[in-house]
Formats: sequence, structure tokens, C-alpha cells
Amino acid sequence: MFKKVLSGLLALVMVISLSACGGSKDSNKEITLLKGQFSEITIIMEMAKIMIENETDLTVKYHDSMATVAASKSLINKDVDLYVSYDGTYLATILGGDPSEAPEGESLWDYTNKRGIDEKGLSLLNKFGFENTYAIAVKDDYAKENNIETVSDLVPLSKDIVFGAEHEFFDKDGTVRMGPLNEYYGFKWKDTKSLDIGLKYSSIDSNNIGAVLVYSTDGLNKKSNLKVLEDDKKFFPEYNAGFFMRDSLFEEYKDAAPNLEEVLNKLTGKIDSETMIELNYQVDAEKKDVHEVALKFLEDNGLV
Amino acid sequence: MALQNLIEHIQLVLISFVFTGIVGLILGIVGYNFKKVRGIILMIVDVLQTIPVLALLGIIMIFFGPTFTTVVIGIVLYSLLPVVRNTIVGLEQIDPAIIEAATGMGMGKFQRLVKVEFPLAFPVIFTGLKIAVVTSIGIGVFGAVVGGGGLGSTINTAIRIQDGSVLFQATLALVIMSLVFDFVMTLVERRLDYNRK
Amino acid sequence: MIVSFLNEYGSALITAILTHIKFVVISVSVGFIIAFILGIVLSRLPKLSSIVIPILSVFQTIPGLVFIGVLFLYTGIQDLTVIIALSIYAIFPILKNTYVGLITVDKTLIEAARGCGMNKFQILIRVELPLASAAIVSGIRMSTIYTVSWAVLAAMIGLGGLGEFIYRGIDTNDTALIVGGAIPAALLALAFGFIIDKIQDKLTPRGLKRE
Repeated sequence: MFKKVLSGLLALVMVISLSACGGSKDSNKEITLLKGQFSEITIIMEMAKIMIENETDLTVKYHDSMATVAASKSLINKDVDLYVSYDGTYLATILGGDPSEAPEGESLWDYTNKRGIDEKGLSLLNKFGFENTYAIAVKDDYAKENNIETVSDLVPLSKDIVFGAEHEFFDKDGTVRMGPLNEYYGFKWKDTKSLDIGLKYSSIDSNNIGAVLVYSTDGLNKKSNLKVLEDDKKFFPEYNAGFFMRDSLFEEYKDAAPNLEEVLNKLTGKIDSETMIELNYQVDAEKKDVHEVALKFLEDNGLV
Repeated sequence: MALQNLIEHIQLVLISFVFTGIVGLILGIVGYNFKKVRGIILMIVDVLQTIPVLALLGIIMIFFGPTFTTVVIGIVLYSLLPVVRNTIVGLEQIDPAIIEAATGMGMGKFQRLVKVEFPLAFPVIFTGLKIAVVTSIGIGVFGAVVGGGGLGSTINTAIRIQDGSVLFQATLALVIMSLVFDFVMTLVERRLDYNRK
Repeated sequence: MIVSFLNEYGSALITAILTHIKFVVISVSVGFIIAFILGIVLSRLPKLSSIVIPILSVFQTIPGLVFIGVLFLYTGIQDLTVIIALSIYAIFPILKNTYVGLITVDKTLIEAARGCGMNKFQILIRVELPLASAAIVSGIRMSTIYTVSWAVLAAMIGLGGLGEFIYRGIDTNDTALIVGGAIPAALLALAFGFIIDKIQDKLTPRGLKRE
């Protein structure tokens, strides 16, 4: 019996180590896309997959989702090749900078890219056209009752409201944070809650919080019947989305897929904020299949 | 629910299991043979368990990046304790008379370990392995935070979009996985115990 | 580096440690009371326990993330939510050890006690529980150490504790915050373990001590 168990274990070791080694990739024939933590990125990645498979000889592989910083590290060490990110996120979360650093006359996008290529060798390709910025949201009926349209409208009511946001927003460093927001608008919340990012919507749905920090294009804003308030005093910087990749990506693939840049650029300027919200809603709230949603968008826009 | 995440989770558990077994056995055997380091080894594996899983993964991520490897290392470090402890206990409780008999038959230290001591201690060691596997299924859920995939990804998404049915399925899958591993290994455990008697 | 970290986060760290201790002490206490009573009851009903114990063990495998993420929808963002979840996780190791400790008491000792004219209750209090106490306390030790680790989840719903440092550190790629949360948590677990070992030492009947 002892020998049987032992030999069984040995066999297991061999099978597993073989299957683990089977993953080594032929780097120039295969491109690895990183799934998003949110539907938005996953949808765009799926669009990229469809287009790359259609128009190049590359085989496309997916890597499972991970947090932003982790994603940038994976891009650098070539575990993955393509992702989606935002100029504000890239600068603040990955480069440890701050949107206020961008010099006068230079856009956040250009400043971030210049600095990012220098420091990490990663760049954002081109803007898709939508902005996914932070925003403050309250329940729709609450907004109607109290006649709230803008963030400023919410300030006088804040003493009775519990505000919830993800942990990151409560960090001490940076300007796009809780402290600076309160100071800028003059909020005096009844209480604030530093929440797991996945629990924000259930927190407001269950009335545990009265106002929440959201991403403006999140499909769940509509699903949870939230009113996304206008940032009338422009506290939140813009967060423009684009493909996120090693700056040398097209060089690396110049033999296997010389038209890669051209293919990816087909999405440049093609997705505005309204469209992105709608696509996110279809996946997150209507639970449509990501592939169907991505394909339909590409077909409707004549991109495939 | 994505089947792929389920498969990933099983892979995570199995690969970690193999490494936990190898590392745990080596540490256990070293601890058994060298009484001086035993205290240190047991203390280290004990302390490892006191670090919150999430923090442990976060720290390993600094060195190995957001990869499958990070999660496997985290699981292995976290589940070493029962294997190491049971290896030492299992080897210790062997009747000294048997060991003497083996020495009397002219066996060297290594030969004795492989042919006599290890087989006799194996049932106890196996119980340690069982505890380690069941623990690792739960720890694997945290893997999604550092890019390790698995059912943690499914659960995170389901919680975010409040998809109760997917959340339920994924949780059920975890529970069933634990029960199956526990059941199968308990069967083996009983067989081993029976054989010993 | 440590000095500057403590300068910046010192007072927040102390608050977090105290919150963490509060969650652990309350949850383990509640878990202990439930597990202790349940353990005694089940040890009298071995048939029932062969069904109940496996069912309870299943609860252990439900991820804390799911547990708290669903529970708070009903109980809200308040300490009670965390305490309920952590107490449930704390029950199992104590229950199992209480149960095993009680049913493995040498039957001849129970017979002897009965011979001395003790009734069932007296046997439980004077013979069985003292003999099982080592197992029970080691169950409490296990639960406490796990609970220190699980209590990190309180931060998921904004209720503080050392998890706040760890989560924020992971989300903002700030190693100092992760380590700054992890080390106090580990020290806390070790301190609890040490205290419980001391208590166990005091509780062990003199005749059962090894030396």
C-alpha cells in the first residue's frame, strides 16, 4: 500500500510538471492578452483578440486578470503582451506620480507616456476616445428628492451621508484622494468607509453607504440606479483609456505580424464614453457574453 | 461559472501539494535527525502561519511578481506546518526496538530511514498532507488578488456584479472540492492505518 | 525606515492593533462558548456527531470573502457582521478538539469515577473535562491564531484593524504598508499563542505534566 501511494504521488508529480512545462510559448507566433479585473478591459481585450485573430497569423492567448500594478510588472517581464490602462492610472498607481505634476501645456496623456517609456518601457498606444474618470454617485431617487445634479449640490447634505470608496482612495499619498477631495469641495461626511472595491455597489444598494466613489463608465452605475454627479469644480483628472503595452511591442512582432500596430489602431477614437457605458452595462447587468458584445460592436462599426 | 477557473484552482492545489510534500518531508526529516534545528524549523513554520494570507502573498509578490508561482509559494509556506509536524511526530513515535533491530541487521542510517522508519511513519505523515491540501483550497481563493487566477477570480467578479448564482456555484465548487479531497484522502488514510495494524 | 513609518502611521497602527485585538477576543470568546457546549453535547451523542461535525467542517471551506460579502447585506457595515463571521470560523477547531478530547478519555477512569459514586454531571466536571482540557485549550489556541489572520477581512467592509494596512498596501503597491500590517498581525498571533500556552500550563493537572 505504501509503495502504491508513493508511486501514485510520483506519477502525479510527473503529470503536473509536464503540464506546467507545456506552457512555454513560441514568443513570436503567440500574443498574450491580459483579462481585465473589470468588464470594460475584458471587452476591449476581446475586441483585440477578434481583430488580431482575423487579420494576423498570431495565435491569441489569455492570461487571467490581476491588479493594475501586477499587470504592469507582467507586461515588463513579458508574461503578457497587451492590456488596457488609463493615463491617470498609469501615472498615479504605476509610476507613483501625480496628475498635478504634468507641466502646463502638456497633456496628462503625453506627460505620462513620456515618463512611462523612460521609467518602465511601457506606453499607452492611442486614446480609444472614452474617459473613465472617478466620479461621485448617489442613488437616483435620492438625487431627485434633493435636487442634486453636481458634486457641489451634495456638499451641504454631506453631514448626514456615509461615503464609501475603495481602500486606495484613502491612501495618504497623492492628490486624487479622500483628504484632498474633502478639502477641495468642503465635504464634512457623517462617516467614511474604506471598502473592498468589489463591495461598493452592494454597499450602496443595501443603504450601508449613501454616496460612493465610482468609475464613470461602469455599467453597474446604471444597474444600481445611481446618479453620477457632475464634477462641477473639476477635482478629478481625466482618465483616458488606451492599449497598454511594452513600447517595443511592434518591434518584437515585426516579423510575425507586421500589421499589428495598424490592427490595434483601428479602435483609436472609436469608442466614446456613452458607448463604453452601454457595452459595460450589457455585460455586467444584462449578463451578455463578452465575445458577443465585442463582436457586435466591431461588426456595427465595420471593423471586422 | 468559468470552467477554466475551476481547472486552474485544481492545478494550483495539486502543484502546491507536491511542493508542500517535498519541502515538508525534507524539513521534517532534518528536524527529526538533528534535534538542534528541530526547534528552529518548527518555530519558522509556526510563525509563517501567523502571517495573514493576503499579506504573505503581497510580500512574496515583491520577489516573484504577480504570477502563479507567487500563489504556489504562498500556499506551500502556509501549509507546511501540518506536514513538518506530522513527519517529526510520525518518525518519533516509532518503537526504538524496531530501529535497533534494523541497525542490528546492518542497515545504514539512510537505508533505515527509507526502508523502515519512513514507511512506518507514513500514515501520520499522510494525515498532515491531508490537512495541508484542504487548507490550500481555501488559500487559493486569495490567489486572484495577485494574478494567480483560480476560483478567486470568479468569486471576486461575482461579488462585484452581485451575481448570486455564480457566487453560489463557485462557493459550492470549493466546498465540493474540499469534501472530495478530504474523502479520498481519508479513505487512503484508513487503508494505511489498517495495513499498519 | 521603521522610524519614519511609525512617525507617519504610529497612532493609526495602534488603533488598528486595538481594533484587531477587539475582534479576535470577542469572536474567539463567542466561538468558544458555542463550541464548548456543542462539543459536550455531541460527545454524548456520537451518532449525531458523525453527521454534524462534517457539516460544520464545510463552513470552514467557505471563503471569508464570500461570507462577509454576503452577510453584510443583511447585517450592515458594523462590528457585529465581522464578529458573526469570525465566531463561526472560530467554532470548528475548538469544537473538534473538545469532542475528540472528551471521547478519548480512558473509559476505565470513567468507570472508576462511577464506582466512587459520582453522577454523570460530576464525572463530566471532575474527570472528563479536566482530562480533555489540554485538547480543548489547544483548539482554542488554533482558533485564536487563525482568527488573527481572518480578522484582516474586517477591512473589506471598512471596519479597520490591521487589514486596512494590508489591503491598502496591496492596492497602492506600497510594501511598507503590507509589511507594516503583517508584522504586528504575526506578533499578535504569537503573543496570543504564548499567553494561551501559559494558561494551559496552569490548567494542566499536576499529575499529567510531563516533568
